[in-house]
Amino acid sequence: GALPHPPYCSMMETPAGAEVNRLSFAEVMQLVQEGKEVPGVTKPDVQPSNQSPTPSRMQRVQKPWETASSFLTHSGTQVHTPLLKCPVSLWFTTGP
Amino acid sequence: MMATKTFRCPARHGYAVEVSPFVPQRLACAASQYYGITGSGSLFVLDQTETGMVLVRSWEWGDGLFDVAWSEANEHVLVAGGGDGSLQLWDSANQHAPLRVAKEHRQEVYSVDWSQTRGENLIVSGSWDRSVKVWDQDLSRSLTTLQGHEGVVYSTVWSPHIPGCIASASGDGTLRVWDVKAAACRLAVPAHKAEILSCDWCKYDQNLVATGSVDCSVCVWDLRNVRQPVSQLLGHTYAIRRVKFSPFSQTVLASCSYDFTVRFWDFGGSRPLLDTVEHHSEFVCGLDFNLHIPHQVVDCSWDETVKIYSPACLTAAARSAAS
Repeated sequence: GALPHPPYCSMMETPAGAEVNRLSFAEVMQLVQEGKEVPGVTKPDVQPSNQSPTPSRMQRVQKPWETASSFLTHSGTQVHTPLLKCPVSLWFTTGP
Repeated sequence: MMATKTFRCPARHGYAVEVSPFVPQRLACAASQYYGITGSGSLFVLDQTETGMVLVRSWEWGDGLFDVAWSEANEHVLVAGGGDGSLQLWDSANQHAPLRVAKEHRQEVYSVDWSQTRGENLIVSGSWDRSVKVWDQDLSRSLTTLQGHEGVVYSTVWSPHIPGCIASASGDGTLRVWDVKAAACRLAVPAHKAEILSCDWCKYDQNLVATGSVDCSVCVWDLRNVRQPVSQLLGHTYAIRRVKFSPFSQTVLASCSYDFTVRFWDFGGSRPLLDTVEHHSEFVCGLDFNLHIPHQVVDCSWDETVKIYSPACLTAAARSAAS
């Protein structure tokens, strides 16, 4: 049979200069604050394609809290609130 | 309990992870070179396998990336926020480039979220420029800019129940609730005396929001009565970087911290701390529950790893909820 995949697969090429990226947070901060060059910094110039997205072929999946039976099962411990002012949804305007 | 799955991204420090709302095994990770201080950013789309993760797609961006959100309308689409103030729209089936880039924020975009409410297809962003912006799914031009925070905005989250409703957390110590249609702040809660780095809505009670702060505490707030929190969760020893409510339980949430740990809480019980997971060697910045797999959690850290795991405390909670 086929061999299993390795437990993790880093297919991304290690960027040039990554070997020197063992600087600590404090070391990087210090270099930046002193206006010094940080070794191996990459700054690719990436531009948008302005293409349309790949068309969706999947239906929206219901969230666990959106199914009534799920709500009853998972509502868990009742949290008592001392003041019963109106729920947050009523602060919001509805309609056009 | 299943073994932890680890993905290593050399020279990239993880800032955010999110599980796909469509594909149970798929997740996205936003990461930055040099801890996000300088250099570029990377966006990863990963699929988990039985034993680990494989890279589906990755892209580079010219600045650090600090947050990512999947589209709720199209399984291929993601939005990310960058250190250059931009939002970018990406397509997991398209290696070529981001589809669109929107540059309006004048400083780092630290938070992006895509609305889950049916009938709404909007993106929210939060920036160090102190503003919150709402965008349509094409990222053409912002629809609304919400001003009011007096410090950097770290976290912006759509209510999963109330259309047009956003919670935001800021360096000014307040949690704010916004009405997008009216372009107004409905509530400003002085929730912490220190910066608030994260907030999230309860999925089973529309009135509850959690905040995570530099003061090392997680607080749960009932927005109808904000004079004191419903619960104050103590245990982390450094700043809380992200909080997430469980998709499966009203009172269970998770938090990750600069103390290198992830903690799980149930604020409905007398002893809220369920478990502490210590499997990272640096700040843990990203955290998400898998919507499709009840006991599964994903996280990412500045230690250059993304991890998927199933904490025993959640399996126990799922069992007791079902009984």
